Amino acid sequence: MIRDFKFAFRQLLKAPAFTIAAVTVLALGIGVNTAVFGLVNTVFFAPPAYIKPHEMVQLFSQDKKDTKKSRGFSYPTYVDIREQNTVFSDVMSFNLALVGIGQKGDTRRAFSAIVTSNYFSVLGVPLARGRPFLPEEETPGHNAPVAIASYSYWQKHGLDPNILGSQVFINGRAFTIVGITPKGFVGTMQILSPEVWLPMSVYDQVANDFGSQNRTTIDDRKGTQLRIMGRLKPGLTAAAAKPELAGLAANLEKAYPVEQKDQTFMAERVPRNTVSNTPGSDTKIIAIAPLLLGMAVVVLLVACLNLANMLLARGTARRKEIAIRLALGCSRWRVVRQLLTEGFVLALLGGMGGLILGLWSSDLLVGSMRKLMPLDIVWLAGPNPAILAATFGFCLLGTLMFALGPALKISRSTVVTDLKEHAGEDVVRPSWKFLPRHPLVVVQIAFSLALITAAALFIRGAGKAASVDTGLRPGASYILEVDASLAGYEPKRAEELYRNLNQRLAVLPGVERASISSIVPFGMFELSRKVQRARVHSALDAKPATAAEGLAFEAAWNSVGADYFSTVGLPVTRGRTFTEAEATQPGRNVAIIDEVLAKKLWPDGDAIGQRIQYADQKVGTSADLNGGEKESMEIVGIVPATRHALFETEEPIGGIYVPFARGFQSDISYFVRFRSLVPGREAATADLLRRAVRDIDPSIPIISLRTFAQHLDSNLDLWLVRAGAALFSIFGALALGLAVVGLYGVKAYSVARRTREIGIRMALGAQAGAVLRMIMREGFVMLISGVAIGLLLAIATAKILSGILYGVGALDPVAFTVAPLVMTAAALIATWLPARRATRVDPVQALRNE
Amino acid sequence: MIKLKNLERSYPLAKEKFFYVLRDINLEVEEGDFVSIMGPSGAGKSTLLHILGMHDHGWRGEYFLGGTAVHHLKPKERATLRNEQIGFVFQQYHLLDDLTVYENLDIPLSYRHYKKSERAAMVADMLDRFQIVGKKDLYPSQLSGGQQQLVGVARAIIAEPKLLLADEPTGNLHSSQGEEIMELFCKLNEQGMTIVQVTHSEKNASYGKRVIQLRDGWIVKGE
Ligand SMILES: Nc1ncnc2c1ncn2[C@@H]1O[C@H](COP(=O)(O)OP(=O)(O)OP(=O)(O)O)[C@@H](O)[C@H]1O
Ligand SMILES: [Mg+2]
Repeated sequence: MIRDFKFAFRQLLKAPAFTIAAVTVLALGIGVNTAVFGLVNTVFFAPPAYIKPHEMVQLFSQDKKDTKKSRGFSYPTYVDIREQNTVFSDVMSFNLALVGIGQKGDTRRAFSAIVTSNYFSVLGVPLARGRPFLPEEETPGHNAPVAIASYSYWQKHGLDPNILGSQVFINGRAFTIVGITPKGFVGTMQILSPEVWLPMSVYDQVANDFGSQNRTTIDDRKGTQLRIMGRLKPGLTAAAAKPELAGLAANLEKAYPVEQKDQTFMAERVPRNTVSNTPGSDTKIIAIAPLLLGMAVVVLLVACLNLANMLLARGTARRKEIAIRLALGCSRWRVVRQLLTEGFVLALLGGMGGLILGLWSSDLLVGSMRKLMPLDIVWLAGPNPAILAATFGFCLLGTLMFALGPALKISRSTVVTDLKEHAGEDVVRPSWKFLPRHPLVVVQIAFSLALITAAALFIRGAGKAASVDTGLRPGASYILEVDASLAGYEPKRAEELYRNLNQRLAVLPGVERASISSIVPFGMFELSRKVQRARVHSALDAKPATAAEGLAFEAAWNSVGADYFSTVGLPVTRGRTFTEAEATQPGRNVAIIDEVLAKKLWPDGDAIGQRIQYADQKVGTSADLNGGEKESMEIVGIVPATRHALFETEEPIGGIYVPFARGFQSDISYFVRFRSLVPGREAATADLLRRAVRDIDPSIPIISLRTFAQHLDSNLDLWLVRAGAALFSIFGALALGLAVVGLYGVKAYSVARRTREIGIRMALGAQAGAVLRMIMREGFVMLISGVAIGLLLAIATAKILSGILYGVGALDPVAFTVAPLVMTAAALIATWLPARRATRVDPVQALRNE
Repeated sequence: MIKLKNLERSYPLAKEKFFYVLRDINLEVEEGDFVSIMGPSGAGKSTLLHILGMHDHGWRGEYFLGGTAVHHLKPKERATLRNEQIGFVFQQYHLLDDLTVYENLDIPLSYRHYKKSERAAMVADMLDRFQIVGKKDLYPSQLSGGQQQLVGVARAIIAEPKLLLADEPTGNLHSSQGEEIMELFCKLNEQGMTIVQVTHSEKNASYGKRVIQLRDGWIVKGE
């Protein structure tokens, strides 16, 4: 065996060009697989950051009447569950909150986890430095300004040895760092990690729950802010815990009939990639895993086919050597073993290259995601046993795929003909005549075509997505996002500040209009409310069927300034816009709705002047509990419907706008519409806006500042489509490159091998054109068969992808024209180069070289 | 038929020196002649034949073929002229291994302007004339050396050339097989074909009408 390896190395050293080419091709194929496997493994399969994951479950609170409805828990309910349950060895609670870390202009958005004091002990994770939170730091009202920072936060601060006891500013307030999480700890999700952990007692100060009208404090039993995760007692399963949990829920409902009405509890597996109140929320993401792996394996397959081809070509050259060996009595098995060993050595070399390439490219990918998300992406670079094992697996798989076939084929040669025939020439027997000479190349072309067609579909989707009509005409607008609460402003003072800032922005040089808006369409956050006609008294359990009976409709909610509609270019088609007074002072209760909502609420009547109310005031709002009148709003205007998500697939939901004074949010944006934006002056314009904020209060953090176009560009859905396009393009380009190189290699090799034949043909009268045509024709046969098979594969791929494509049919004619054209053009060039070389064969030389 | 005037062929050696393979060749071959070129190995016989066959263009001097001044022709015109006038027989037969006898015979026709039906008829005729009809579907490796050279000759004359060039056509053959080829040449010559062959054997040369001796690139006898 050792001898085999030694000989293999010698053989490979003897042909350095071949070895380098083969290792490169393999490294590409294995590299892609290593990268994708690393990602898929971490996100979907690797064990989580906490110990004994099989014991961990998340507790869900579900409506017994409507099992589709789930909700979170209040802190008092959590305490009851912790004390009264019999199934958990311990149970903790937490929620994620978006906070501003840092001071003034240096504020950045980050996620924090607000946790109970036993959070780390339930997860079974000891801190790297310092201590976990103390029980008294959890108690509501205690308001303890302490924080535990993530390892990557510590890293950002140069692993400062004096980090414990230092201060971090969160929402403008100083917190003392008392602990550091261990390296690689990400909390309960897989690679998405909060940057700081805060104790439950600061919840009300830090958390920015949207829809602040219904905000409950943390000690309020009506709250639904928290998620609960627990460790089941050893040996207990989630299913076995079910009756106990249902009993517990029933007891709590008895004790608190209003707050716990109809709620039952159930324990389920902890979702790996989401934080949600609904069980099973991350199954959709998992569907991507096989797709990614599938693509990567196709690239590996193409690489292996490529190599198999190279080995076959080399084998042909070595046929005489092998024939002589067989003639000297060497067994076929020995020859096969020798060839396989060579293949395996190649695969190992390629695997090493691939590992480096893979780790490097996955770091690159993670880097690009990091820029987009306010969540910290914790990604431990470097190989781990799983990745090493997988890479080695790819090597073995690769060897079998690319070396076995050629080894068997080459070793089968009949001794006599090989010794007799001209060494190294392909002899094609009649049965093969009408088939393409190189089926492996054909398969490569087919696979690459399938991949580049998929890439073309995604690129088309990305193009369509980028040019989607938003329904808004904001012209040359900047979007300026600020959050005064991060600088410690109370809502009342913040409102005043926002009013002043709005006035200031509106009169800046070059500015046409400016308006506040709590939601920027197509951004990361959306709010929706249920809206119904006002003053419909329906029985408590009645199921209204029509708007007149009180049926409520989901509507996208926004609170805006008086100038909002003219700033974003949305004409008020009926009625009027908000007055300045309505927008800034809580006076008359008015609303503007869009045509879709108007049509739903008053299908055959006029909505202007009618009154509506929110239907989803949650448990705990005074109106609901007292059974009293809800606050109603008068509809004063109607605007056209706009999209609410860039990729709306279903019927558009309606929209409701209220004056900002009646829908205060602390995190708000201004649309600042300029008369025109002079290219090249972006920096100066941005500076102008920044200065305006600084002049009002330099401590106000600017969370983001960009043009509307840039805002659309950073849309997450758009990113997904583009990432898909990029991934498929990379994979497609790799496969295309490999296939083209493969085709070129085969053609170049065959031209070199056929010099004698070409020389004879020229001596017998073939002119350059005829020779060119001959070589091209053979390439063409491969191309046509490859494209034909590839189109079938592409159709199948497109059908699989159709669910995640945006705006293009699975059989999009453009993609299905462009991709084959690209493939054909590349293949023709790859054939033409060697063919041209063939025409330069000197017959005299060719015939001499005998 | 052929007239060469002051023809020379040289290969560059290192440092602007040249190695002359052929020097000052003056030669005339009448139509219907049967010439044998002889000389020691390395004398330049093959080189001369490839020049005559217009496979090699790196020579200087004058070359007239049937009144056409080849030295004034462009490569494309030379190729056309060659395809019209010349057939070539190689020492190592040079049949294409992955084509059948039939297909090998068809190659020269495929590069000339013949219709498909014409080609089939010509190949069938040739198979008939050389009595190898039964072998038409065999591959070269399935033939004996003599049979392979027979196909080689058939292929050389299938496009009805006026001039047949043969570089040691019997070099690799058994003497009786060699005789067979030589008798075939005589017959073709009698039918009016001009033949120039390179040979080492006096016996083969005796089938021809005259002998040209080549030594170190010079014609030493038989101009
Ligand atoms: N491309 C080349 N470069 C340099 N020298 C060459 C080249 N081709 C041929 N020669 C030289 O030209 C000389 C004549 O070669 P040629 O093949 O014509 O000889 P020949 O008379 O046919 O010999 P043989 O009887 O062995 O076939 C030889 O010395 C050879 O080395
Ligand atoms: Mg010779």
